[in-house]
Amino acid sequence: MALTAQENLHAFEPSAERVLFLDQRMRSGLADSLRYIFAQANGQLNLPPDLFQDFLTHLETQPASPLAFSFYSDAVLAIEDDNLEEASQLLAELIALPPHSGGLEITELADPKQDASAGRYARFLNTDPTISFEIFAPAKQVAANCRAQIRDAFALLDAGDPRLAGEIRALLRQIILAAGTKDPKALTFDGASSFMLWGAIILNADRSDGAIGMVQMLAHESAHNLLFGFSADEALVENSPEELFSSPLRKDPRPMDGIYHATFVTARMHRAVQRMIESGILDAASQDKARKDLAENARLFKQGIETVQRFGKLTPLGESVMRGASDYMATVR
Amino acid sequence: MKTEKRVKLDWSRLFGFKQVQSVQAGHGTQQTRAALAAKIGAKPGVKAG
Repeated sequence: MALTAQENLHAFEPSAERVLFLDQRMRSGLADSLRYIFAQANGQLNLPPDLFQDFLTHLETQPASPLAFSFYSDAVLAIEDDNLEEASQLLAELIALPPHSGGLEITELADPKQDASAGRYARFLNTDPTISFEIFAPAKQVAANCRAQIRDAFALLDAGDPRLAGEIRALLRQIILAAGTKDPKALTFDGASSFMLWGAIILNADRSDGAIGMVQMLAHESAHNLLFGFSADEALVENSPEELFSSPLRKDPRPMDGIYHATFVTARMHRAVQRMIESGILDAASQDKARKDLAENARLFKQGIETVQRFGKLTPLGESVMRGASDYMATVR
Repeated sequence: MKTEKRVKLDWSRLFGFKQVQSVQAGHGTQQTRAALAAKIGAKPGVKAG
């Protein structure tokens, strides 16, 4: 049965039902585009039509691997380069992807230099031509510690913010544990997500900020995915990607789309911490950290929203989504 | 000499590329990749050296 959009589709409050609709819309959009590409190719792509149709049927009705979106993206760019052989190969790999169970998997990144899928994940996180950083497979113990943090974080969320816990489980297909460089001079990462890896987040597993830190990391990266889902058919901002602004979350200047994302996800992090504090489930040490993080998230949101309000050319969608975050932050100041 | 592409795609009909076209009409694939760029949370205080 097709899901229909909720009236409060772009509401700030988490909703598992809402993201099920967004997921179906993302998959339907992908299926429609693949169907269009196949028709435009008019037999010039080397793909078995029956298997292609079977894949589209599954895509429209079942959860999909985040990698499906990345293969599609690469295939479009290969067609733009008039490399139909590469496009055919990419689409063949796409339709050969195994079905996804629909649950949330926690996996460890393999060596991107040895494993094609790991290399694909790493490449899609390194799409920004202005920065470059390395992604590695995590050490076993580091990954085990991170898994324990994720388990503890979900326990906190289930007890203190079940709506957000439900939304994250419905939104995410994969949490991929990875590692960054130890070089103190090099750029590294905390977490990452990509439009064309819909449903996946990659975390730097080498973390030391405990379960309350992981609650915020999950709230942060899942909020990026939520914004990707909102913006499937429409941009959030109309600023040129070449206009750069100071970011509340990064040292390097970012395009307005990045500032917008950072500001929204900071409000979502604030909300998650606020719920943890209000629920009374945190021990004394976690309460202390939570209160400090709450103040920091409020400060970062203020910094971000000032830039968005001053320089952002928001679309109606962008206005609507950010209004929810601003309204929430106004209630807690 | 520039040759015609064998398969022509209207980006306004392509999922995920539509919003790129709306803000970046006429730009090539490098800009498209940047516009669809990942959201990376770089570690605070760490900067490429």
